[in-house]
Amino acid sequence: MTNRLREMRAQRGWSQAYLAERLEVSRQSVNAIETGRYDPSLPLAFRIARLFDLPIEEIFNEE
Amino acid sequence: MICDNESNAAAKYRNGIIVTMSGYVFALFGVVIYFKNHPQASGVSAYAIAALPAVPVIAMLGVVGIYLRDEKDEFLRWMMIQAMLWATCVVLATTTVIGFIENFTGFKAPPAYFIFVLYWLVFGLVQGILKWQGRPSDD
Repeated sequence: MTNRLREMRAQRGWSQAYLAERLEVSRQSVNAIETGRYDPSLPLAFRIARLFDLPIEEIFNEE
Repeated sequence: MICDNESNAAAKYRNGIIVTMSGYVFALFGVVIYFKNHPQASGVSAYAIAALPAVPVIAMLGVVGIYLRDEKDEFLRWMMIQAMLWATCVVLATTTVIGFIENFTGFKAPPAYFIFVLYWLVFGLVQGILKWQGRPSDD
């Protein structure tokens, strides 16, 4: 699975730390998701989608 | 909030590991000294005393279990589980190989508590590698 998290975070000028705080996860988690080392669970993917106000499929792509 | 600050679960885990590790060292030394001073010890009480260092070891597994139950960050939980799986696999593979070598040759296998040391060595190593790989990049 790939994702556009880093790109969308950069568009908003958010740091990894800020995104982590908003999602209530560790900065390590944000980094692992952005670099594709870890695919988030469905509940976390929904939280990310809600935060960016986008459907999940616009952030995560099955590949 | 989790962010860069240590989570409550992680703090509890760290404290729990410090306490149980200290307990292990303390119990081990205590038991060694006891059996040096009581070489004739036998029976149920000797077995019970000899098994004392295992208590903090078992408690350590409980500390890990409590961390996995309490940690809200799924990625941190995943890292812990990866370390446990690697440690379990290495210990099973190593002890199996040693077992067969011991069975068919005159090789004297290390004591059984070697498994504990090996498990936590691999566990710590894998955790270190995963943390190093996952170190946050500069924004």
